[in-house]
Amino acid sequence: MRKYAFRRFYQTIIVLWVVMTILFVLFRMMPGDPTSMLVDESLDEIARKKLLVEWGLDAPLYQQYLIFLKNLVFFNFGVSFFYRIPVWEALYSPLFNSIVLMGTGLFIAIGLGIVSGAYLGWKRGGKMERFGLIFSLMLRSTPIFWLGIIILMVFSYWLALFPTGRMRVTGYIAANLFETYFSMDFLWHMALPLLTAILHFLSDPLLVMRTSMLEVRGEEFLEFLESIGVPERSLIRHSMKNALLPVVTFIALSVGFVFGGQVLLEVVFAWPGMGREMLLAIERRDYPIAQGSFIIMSSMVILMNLVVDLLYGYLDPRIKYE
Amino acid sequence: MNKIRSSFRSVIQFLLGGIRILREDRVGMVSAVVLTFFIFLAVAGPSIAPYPPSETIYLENGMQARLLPPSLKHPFGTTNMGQDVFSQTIVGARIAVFIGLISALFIVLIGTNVGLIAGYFGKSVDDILMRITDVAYGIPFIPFAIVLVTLMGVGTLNIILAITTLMWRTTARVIRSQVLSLRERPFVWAAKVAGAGHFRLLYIHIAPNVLPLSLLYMAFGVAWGIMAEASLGFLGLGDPEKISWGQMLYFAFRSGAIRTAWWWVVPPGLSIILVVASCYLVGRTFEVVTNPKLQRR
Repeated sequence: MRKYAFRRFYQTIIVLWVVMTILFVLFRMMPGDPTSMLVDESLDEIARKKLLVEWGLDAPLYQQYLIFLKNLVFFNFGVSFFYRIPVWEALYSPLFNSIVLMGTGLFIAIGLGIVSGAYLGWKRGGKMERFGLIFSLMLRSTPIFWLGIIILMVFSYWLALFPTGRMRVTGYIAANLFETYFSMDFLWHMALPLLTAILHFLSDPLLVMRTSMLEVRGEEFLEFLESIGVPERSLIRHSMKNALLPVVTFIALSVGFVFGGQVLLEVVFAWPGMGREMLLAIERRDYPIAQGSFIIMSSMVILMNLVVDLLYGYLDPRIKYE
Repeated sequence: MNKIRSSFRSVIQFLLGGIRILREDRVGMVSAVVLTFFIFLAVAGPSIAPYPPSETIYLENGMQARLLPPSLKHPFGTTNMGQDVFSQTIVGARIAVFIGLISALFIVLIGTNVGLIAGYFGKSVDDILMRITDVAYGIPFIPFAIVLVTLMGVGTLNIILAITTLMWRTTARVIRSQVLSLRERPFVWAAKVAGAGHFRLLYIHIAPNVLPLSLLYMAFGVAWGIMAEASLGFLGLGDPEKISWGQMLYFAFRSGAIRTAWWWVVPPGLSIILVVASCYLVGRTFEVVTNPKLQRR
């Protein structure tokens, strides 16, 4: 097991390195000289050169690449062209906003999905199952941004129950971090995007759990338990425990999908998260921010994959490692 | 030659099996009909749309027909530019189906080959190919597509490129695990003993057995492709020359028309849902053919 963990660990490092290199190449190929959008055209040649030197953009590409790698190790993502502050400083609050929204959404969706998926898998063949299945497949086929727009239209424009977007009332500045996230105003703003996220992420854990439950139902230990008169409730509990494994894989992989859907969701609800920040950064040609947010998203996905692979062995002792 | 014929036979058997199950399964049947309908729209759309989709329509009094609610003349109403939403929805089917099919084709081609080669050769070949797959898994799709389309310019081909560069990953993993068990089967040993080379073993003996699975992922690939295209369209990265459902929603959202104009929002969204759900449902029906375990009820 330790050997396996070690191998997965160094494989992860290699994957991280390759992904970062791809990002480096991708962002170096981006159109437009970053200085051209910074100050107006009249910026004279000397000042422009000075800025390029300051940002290390005059060095040969391989040197830039080495500096890029070195900075990565120290979590130094450079300085934003637009905000004129370190990328990390500009990104940590959007990152946190994204995690609060998507993390809560995913958590609730997975919980609901596991319970209802187990139920559908247990009571198979009925009308309820057919309906639940088609409903969750429909949800799965619904683009998250469209779902968001519809929810926004109904609850915000027609019923006027919730704000149309953003995270706080206009003009509000939080006194401290605690106040940013723990207030009625914040919850009120989060309600609609959260509802959208839950509905969007509900179907996958539900379907995975259902299939897995169907498989567990065929196993002998359940027949045995049933024959010795174990009540249905505990039968369900026993099968749920056994059926959870594929859901764990899903949870990890879904972290990756979170970073896709998040961009769209944040655009619809003008949520000041990292996905929206990245989109804005690309529009502003602020590549350090775009690159930084991409690096953060990718690393999280890759690290989550590692965590899951390691968790797997812990959760299912039947798995043998070479 | 015999083997090639038999791989054709396995595909045909798969399709026939799927059709047999489709006939018994009402949901599967309905989704197959829906899918056929949208493919028909994709082919015939521009010629059956009542209005040119991007043309501004004028009222009798010379005013632009802006944001009209649904009526007999405009079943889905009009946009803020006075365009007919019904026509746009019909025409939008073409780009969705086109991008869906082409990207699914590439996804399956790349994914199947990577899976076959990795699973068959094993060892370091497997290791390298699976790390590449890990890399593809490690890059979140939407951010990647945003960057790629910004870099290469908006256009249908670049959207397909963005989709296929990453989306083959799932197919590759699934096919690989299938090949891992196939290569230990007696028929493969027999062929090896009879002197079959790697290429022959891989593409003539093993590949026909994973072909049904590839076709299944083709159905899912169409769904992913259409969804990805719609998402990019909604972010304003769609091909500006062509009308797509995602782009219709982009304009509806950007113009603020979603406050009132539900008729502009609902048709393209429902079209996406219908096509994508049909792909999944048809795929599920065919899944029973590849995995008979699912059949026992």
